[in-house]
Amino acid sequence: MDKTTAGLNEFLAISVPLTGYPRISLIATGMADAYLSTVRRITGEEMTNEYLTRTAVILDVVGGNEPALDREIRQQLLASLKYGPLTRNIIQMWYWGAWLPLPPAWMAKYGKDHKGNENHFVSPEAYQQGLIWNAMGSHPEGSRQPGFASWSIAPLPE
Amino acid sequence: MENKEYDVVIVGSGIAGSIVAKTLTQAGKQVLLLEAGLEAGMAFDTEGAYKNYQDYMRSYYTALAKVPNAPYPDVKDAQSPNVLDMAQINGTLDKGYFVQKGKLPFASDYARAAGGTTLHWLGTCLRMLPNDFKMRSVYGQAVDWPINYAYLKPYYEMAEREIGVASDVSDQRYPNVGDDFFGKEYVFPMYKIPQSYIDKSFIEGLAGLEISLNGDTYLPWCTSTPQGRNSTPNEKYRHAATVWNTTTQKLELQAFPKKSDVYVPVGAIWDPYAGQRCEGNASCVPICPVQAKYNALKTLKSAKKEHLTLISQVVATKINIDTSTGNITGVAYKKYEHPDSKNYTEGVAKGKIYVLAANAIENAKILLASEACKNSKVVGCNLMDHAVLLTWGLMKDKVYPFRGPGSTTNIPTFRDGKFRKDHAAWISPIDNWGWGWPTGSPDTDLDHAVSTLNLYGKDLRKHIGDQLSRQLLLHFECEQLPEKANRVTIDKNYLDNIGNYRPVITYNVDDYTLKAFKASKSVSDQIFAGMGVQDYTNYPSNEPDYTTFDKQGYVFRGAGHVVGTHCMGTTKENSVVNDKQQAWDHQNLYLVGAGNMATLGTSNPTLTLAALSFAAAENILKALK
Ligand SMILES: Cc1cc2nc3c(=O)[nH]c(=O)nc-3n(C[C@H](O)[C@H](O)[C@H](O)COP(=O)(O)OP(=O)(O)OC[C@H]3O[C@@H](n4cnc5c(N)ncnc54)[C@H](O)[C@@H]3O)c2cc1C
Ligand code: SF4
Repeated sequence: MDKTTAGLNEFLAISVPLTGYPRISLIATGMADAYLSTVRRITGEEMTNEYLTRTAVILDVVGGNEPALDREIRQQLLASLKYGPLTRNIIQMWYWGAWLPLPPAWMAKYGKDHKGNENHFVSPEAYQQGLIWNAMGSHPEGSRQPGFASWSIAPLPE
Repeated sequence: MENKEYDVVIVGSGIAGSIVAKTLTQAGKQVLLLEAGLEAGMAFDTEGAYKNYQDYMRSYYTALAKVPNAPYPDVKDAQSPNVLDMAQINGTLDKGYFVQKGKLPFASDYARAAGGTTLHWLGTCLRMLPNDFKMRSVYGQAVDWPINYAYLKPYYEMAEREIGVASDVSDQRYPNVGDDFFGKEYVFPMYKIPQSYIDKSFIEGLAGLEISLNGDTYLPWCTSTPQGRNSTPNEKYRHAATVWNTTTQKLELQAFPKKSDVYVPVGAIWDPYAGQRCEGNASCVPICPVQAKYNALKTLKSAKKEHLTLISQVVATKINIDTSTGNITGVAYKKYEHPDSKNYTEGVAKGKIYVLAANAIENAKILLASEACKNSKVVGCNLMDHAVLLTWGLMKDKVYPFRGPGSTTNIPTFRDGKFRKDHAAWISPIDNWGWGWPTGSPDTDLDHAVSTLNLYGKDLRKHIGDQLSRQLLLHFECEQLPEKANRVTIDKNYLDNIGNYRPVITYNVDDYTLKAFKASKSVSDQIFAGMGVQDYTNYPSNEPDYTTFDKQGYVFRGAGHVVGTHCMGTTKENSVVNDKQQAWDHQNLYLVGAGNMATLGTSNPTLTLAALSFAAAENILKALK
């Protein structure tokens, strides 16, 4: 596996429960690589690998048991001072396409002062691929136009 | 350009300048157009126009705050105001381009780029109502215009053709207008833009709801909104072009040569087959990806090339005046090579007639810098905008906002009525883009769901689906009266990158408009209660345009309707231009744009300023003979 795709499987695997979208929808955005690289660039190689290892263990241990998975995601990721901010960032990146700045104290402690921790869209495509639009029955403003008069009827059910 | 004398020199390539340039060149006059914006914006060749526009699109996609000027280059040498620079004023607000010294910040912006502010306008195209021209004689407020609705009506038709307005006459119902408001047989170039799914539920919800206001009862109704975006051509529309008739000395709408001819929507400037229909991109403000929405570059592109000299990156700074005759002898300008460098070359452009079309605020600045139109003492005064009160809530059912053009329906009921003796009138557009404007939704709601509600995964997805698809936003766009104290001035302590004046603005909203906030909020409360909308409206006291009236706080926003500053009037003491839009003090100077408007009314100003620009072009052609 080359550098850019290392960890991609793990990243996609945990992104499925975090976003509520199936793997195929995440792959179809074409953004998985770019999002993982963003995490690596800003939080560092070490932190990223640690996070992916941790999430892989969680998925492995709970198997397909959803209530157990929910409990582990909440307790080990969202509630964690270390992994919580990063987890929320990953969710929001999938939904909106932008990186939210992690708190300076978090960056100093875990991110080892890597650069790029400003609020920014990962790329023009990232904005267009945000999952939020589909979730609310819409499409990214300024892109993927649904066609003349489509706005006068309800969107297709998901 | 130095050595050549043109028939007409125009400053600014927005809709006002472009309409004048197109009309004059097609009538055979030699026109020089000076534009402050970048050269790239002027590209009309397929490749250049496409590439430039795609650069705008890229900037738009990556802009964190997708405000009106977000897609367009931020040029230091011809800066544009930006709504992000707005804040509460403590003494002076000196951030960005405007310097603000009033009680309240002026909250609107404009684009200094080729094509002007129509690059990011919404495209709503309403005519003013007959009473809007007679506020003094009918309601004892402000002033009457020196012209009336009947005068402007044929020019409105020319403007509707030029912009390509989509609407159905049968749908249009306004208060206090006669059957002749549109001509008997009148049709718009294109059928109406389909109304949104939100509109349909809203119209159903509103039907039969009685509203109390000042002790009177109203039965408000909805009307589809006429818009400058491409729809399906109406085969009954018969006008091919606006042409100058040398015999009658008038501009006339010319019929199609053949019965089988139909109106052809004007597509993107890089490809006539792109943007032939609105595709529902839902980003009209700040940018329509396919140019299905009208912008002034379309008009400029159809000017007669052989008669038009276009020069960009040229900022007009001053008009030179022959003090003995009052005539203008040239426009002094600074031409910059690089958008942000301090270097420039100077020159003077010469013509027989001069037209300032740089928009209300920039026109006033140029006049003030030149000490022009001094007799009136009102240059820069009477700055107006619609003060927009927003109310928002969640509908009972899903209505799926964030789709389609920004607004496709409005409540016109309170656009006119006897209440105008006491308080402002307003129009209420129903918005199609959720709570985007007041709360920054959808990403703010996403952040709230993830960071505060601790949602993730399927629960998050469901929450977004339930909440964001029920968002309703109403506008109450309240008129402002012309006030001398609301004004643009210049000050040599506030200069831009190349030593030109920045606009210094003093602005406030008086009781006439504040009373309308109270009245319209009460109307909104009644509508929300009647329709079962959960009200989420709030007006935090730290917002830039927070104000109070009758012990109640309100936050209003600018509409982008920059009006007044060189008002048209009956005498050279009370106004800057006469009924021909010619400067009272300078025979060969015409001012065009919304700066000429004596009162504001409740319609968005551009259709009216476009109609006025045709009238001005006709007057100029008559003067040139
Ligand atoms: C967000 C937004 C939404 C809007 N929506 C609507 C709507 O739905 N309906 C409606 O009717 N109106 C709307 N408006 C208002 C509308 O856009 C303006 O009324 C209209 O575009 C003004 O046209 P104009 O030609 O007078 O000026 P502008 O379009 O501002 O054009 C002025 C031109 O002059 C150039 N210029 C400026 N200074 C100089 C100088 N010193 N030298 C040389 N060139 C100069 C500028 O670069 C520009 O090209 C909206 C405005 C905004 C901001
Ligand atoms: S809805 Fe889309 S296609 Fe239509 S005018 Fe707006 S941006 Fe253009």
